[in-house]
Amino acid sequence: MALLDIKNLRVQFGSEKSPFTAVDGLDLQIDQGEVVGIVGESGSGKSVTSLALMGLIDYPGRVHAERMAFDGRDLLTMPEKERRTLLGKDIAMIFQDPMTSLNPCFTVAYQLMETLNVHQGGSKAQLRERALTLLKQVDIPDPERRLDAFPHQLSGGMSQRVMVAMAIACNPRLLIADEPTTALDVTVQAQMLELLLQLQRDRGMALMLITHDLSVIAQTAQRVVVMYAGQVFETGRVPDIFNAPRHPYTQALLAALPEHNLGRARLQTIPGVVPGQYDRPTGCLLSPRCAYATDLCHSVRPALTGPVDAQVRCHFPLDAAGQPTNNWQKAA
Amino acid sequence: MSTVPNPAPPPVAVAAMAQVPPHPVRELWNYFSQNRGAVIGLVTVVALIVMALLANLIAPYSPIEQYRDATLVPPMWQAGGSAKFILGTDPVGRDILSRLIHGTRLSLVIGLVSVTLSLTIGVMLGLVAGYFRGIVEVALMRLMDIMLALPSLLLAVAVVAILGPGLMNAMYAIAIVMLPHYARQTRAAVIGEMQKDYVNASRIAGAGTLRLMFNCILPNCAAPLIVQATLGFSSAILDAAALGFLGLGAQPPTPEWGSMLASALEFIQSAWWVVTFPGLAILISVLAFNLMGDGLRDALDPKLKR
Repeated sequence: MALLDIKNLRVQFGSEKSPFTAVDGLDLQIDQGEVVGIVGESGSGKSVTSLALMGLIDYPGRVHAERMAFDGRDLLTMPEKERRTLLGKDIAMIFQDPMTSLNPCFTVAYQLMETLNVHQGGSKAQLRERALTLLKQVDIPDPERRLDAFPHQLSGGMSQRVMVAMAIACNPRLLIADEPTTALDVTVQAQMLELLLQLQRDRGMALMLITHDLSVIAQTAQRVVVMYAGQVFETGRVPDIFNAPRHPYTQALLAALPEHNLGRARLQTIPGVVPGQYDRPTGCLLSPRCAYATDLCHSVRPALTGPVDAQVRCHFPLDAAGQPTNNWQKAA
Repeated sequence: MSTVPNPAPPPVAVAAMAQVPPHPVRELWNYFSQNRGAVIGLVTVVALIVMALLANLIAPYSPIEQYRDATLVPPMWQAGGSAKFILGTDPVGRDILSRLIHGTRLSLVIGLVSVTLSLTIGVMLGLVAGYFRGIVEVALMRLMDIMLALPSLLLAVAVVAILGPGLMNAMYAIAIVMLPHYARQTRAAVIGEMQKDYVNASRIAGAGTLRLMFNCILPNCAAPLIVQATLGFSSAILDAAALGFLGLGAQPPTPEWGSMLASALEFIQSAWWVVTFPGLAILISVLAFNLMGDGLRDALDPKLKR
């Protein structure tokens, strides 16, 4: 049985009459010890998915799901108190911006020990000892001195490491990393990913890696979920999805990577932006931006089809050679 | 890469690493002491506190004893004045200096009590409004808006009229008048902090509502509240003096600065000292608290740090 099992998750904001659907019918399963990447542009519903999972969507946001279970326990019907014990202990999360993720009023030691105390308890000296061990595990230089530092005395990379230390403090079985490397510079990014992967392997925890950087996914994940405008557009295994993307959106995302644009004067882009509340197309959500869109694409919204690890939401999935199957060239 | 070994890091970097950042209190003092006005304010405030604490020892006479043979004696440096009454006497022969010294005690107590009261209640209201938002926020904040729409002195007078005149009731009235300021400031700060990720991180770590409100968010809103409370001290002193002047605050013979002014109003032409010295006392203490508050704001607000 999957560790995390989400079925038909829908998150809506705004009024009941004209809601904005941020996540639309998302299915997601993560197994024990698995690394799953979720990619998509800004506004595609990646972060909202993780917030909904953690129960952090407040009114006026609404979360519906057929099933949202962690280790067989239903997160939706679980009482608030039980959910709070589960969160932080078995499911932990790392945020995008390390500079605001630590409480500026308290020292690193205080914040680490607070989490440890709530979920495990122990004497003050024991807690401090464990906090120090955690800082060592996330490779913070000079951990003894960092324990008594305030967040403003740490660099971005170090704050992020402290965040990771807090997240893994209670040996979670699922770690959600919401763009953990976006706010860091490139050299630190690589170290951070290396650290996350190492911790994931050592502890056998599942990792849900949310990012808009496909190269990050390529290095780390075993499975990928490509999201667009709140819908899953394609799922696949690494490296299959990189070798032969079946959705035009995935193909376009890959084509936009700087590594695939060597020698060109301009980087390739996907024209337009993710549709918002008032300009959602009636057909396929990508149709205004898709290079291969036909009349059918503009009028009928496709369903997600295919086997579990190779689903695609497209009327005319690309073939193995990356060519569309709807003969659009001949039509044009 | 060639086989050249990595050069050792320069020793300067090591020295910089080993430098311990200053203790927060020390850092605060460094910023505070750069502002000369603030330091003058602080010194004056400390002097006022000392004067209030030692009033019984410093004051030459009892503040309510009447020397009937020496009414309206001018200050010692003026013709007709004597060294016996340094700042002169009032119309019923009480020593003005002694009354001023004892008045310090009252003014500081008024400031402390009314600021504490309204800070406590205001922070609660603001915290609840900012945390829960929605209908709670609308209800609380519109109520605060209504209170702000009334002229503050008028509201205080109305409250005293309901509760009856007296020093304690004046303090309640002042606390009520200042309430909206604290509530609004807290709410604004709470809303700002709520959007930061560390609040979400705490929620994920399993923190409950009360823990989030008081332990996680409130300490981060403290800086503007400390400043507002310091400045609130001066407005409390001023309001108390105004209520005293109108006869709604401290009742005679209590040596309160505002009521001292009021009781000597008819002598403003003939005996200037009876009115001038209480007025100066109010001016100096209010100014001192304001200067100190400004200095604190500069020191506590990271955006104003140079």
